Amino acid sequence: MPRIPAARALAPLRRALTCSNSIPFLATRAISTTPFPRALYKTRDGTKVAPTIPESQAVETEYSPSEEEIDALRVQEEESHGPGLAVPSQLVETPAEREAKALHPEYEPARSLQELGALPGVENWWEKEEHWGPESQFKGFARTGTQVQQEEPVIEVYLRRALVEVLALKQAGKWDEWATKAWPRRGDDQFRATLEMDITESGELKQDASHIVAELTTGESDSPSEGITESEGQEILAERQWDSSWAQIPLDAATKFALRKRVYQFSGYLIPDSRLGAAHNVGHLLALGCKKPKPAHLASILEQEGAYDALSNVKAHAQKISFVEKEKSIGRWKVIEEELKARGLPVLGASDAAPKHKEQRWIISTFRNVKR
Amino acid sequence: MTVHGIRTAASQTTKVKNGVGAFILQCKKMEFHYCDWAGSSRGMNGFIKGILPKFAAANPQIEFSISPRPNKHPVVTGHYINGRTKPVCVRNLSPYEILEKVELLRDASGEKLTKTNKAVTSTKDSVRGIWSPFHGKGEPV
Repeated sequence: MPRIPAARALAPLRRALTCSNSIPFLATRAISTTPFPRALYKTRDGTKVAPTIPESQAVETEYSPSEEEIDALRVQEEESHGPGLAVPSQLVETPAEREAKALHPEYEPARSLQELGALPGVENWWEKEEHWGPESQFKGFARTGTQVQQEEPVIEVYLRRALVEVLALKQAGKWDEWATKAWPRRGDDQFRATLEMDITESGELKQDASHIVAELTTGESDSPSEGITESEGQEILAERQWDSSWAQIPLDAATKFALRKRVYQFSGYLIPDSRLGAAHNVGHLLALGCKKPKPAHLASILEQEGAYDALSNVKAHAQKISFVEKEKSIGRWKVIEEELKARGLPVLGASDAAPKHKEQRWIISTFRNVKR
Repeated sequence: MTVHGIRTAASQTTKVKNGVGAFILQCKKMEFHYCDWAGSSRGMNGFIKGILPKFAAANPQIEFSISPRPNKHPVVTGHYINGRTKPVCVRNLSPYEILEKVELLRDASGEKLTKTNKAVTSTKDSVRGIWSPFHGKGEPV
């Protein structure tokens, strides 16, 4: 009964507007209760792609969407992940049971509460890799991190290859055009072909290098060379037996930079600018490329030198000694921990620390309260 | 450590030497903090690399702890058996200047630095003071 008495006069109007042949909600749209791939029902732009069902049709009517409709759904599924971070949808719309069966024949609805899946929250949205497109994955020009190679045989082989490629480009008259471009890695065949070339003492190639230039000036191959290991480099050096005359070839600035860039592409080690100026021939570059950089931390130096290994009364820490470590060393930390737990206080700081990234904070603040 | 030191000294000496053989160094631990980046730690880093190994080998009764403390000046802290600590900032000092500071900390007692006005220091001072032959009437012999 309406609270406002005057509203009773509107009752006939409401009855007139109500459709007489309306179908109960459960009859028009079956509710799927089985966990279903999210990308299928994610509608980022708010449009409804699933085919509409006439209300006059009964639920028992066997529904089979056409091939075009299924293709449209699959295209939407693939396109739902656009460039950049995928954003959670504002409205989660599950497909009807019959639509799901048409798309995935193995689909089975849940029969009990335990079979139901739980939709995850947005707190960990940022960390999941499937929410990031392939363009978000870093593809470096050179090796990075622990993969950097500085072994002498490896650097010598890379430098030899780079020098042959530089001389080949000069021989073909394409040096000015290709000196500053990014050269493709190409496959292992190109690697072997460059190592088979002979270099004269004056810095020229003895053989015709047109095939090397042709490979170098085309695009990247399907299986680019991953480089060589130290043992492979030693085998190559033992097999080729290059004389030391090629290390005396003088270098101009442009050639030096090209060699450095090529060696960096394969080995991951970039010769510093400050040292590059002192190099005047190939041998200098080889010496610089193999020189290991000084450790950045004193703790690494102490560990390498082992100055305190024989002294039992000295302990060298690599990192700052934290408050917890200090308390642990005197056996007081377990007492502090017990007392903090007894009072219901966090032991190691607040657990719900603010997210680091701005976009991460935006996702959590925007989509936390969306009914899913 | 204290009791062990006394026992060791007592076992090694048949005679009591008025406490000389039972000497125990008051400094029990020394902490060395440095920074890898800052220029004020350059001398400290050189000290840790070059001088500290010899110093630590010469003083086995002291525990040494070396740890970085990023973006801070270098500090040497002495811990003493009376529970007190003495921190000394060694910024921009050369390794040998730092060695002087470290030796000072090693030889310190751990007590607060106080001005000494009297010849004798006692925990229970005499009310009458110390007898002196140059004061008073003097006793005829």
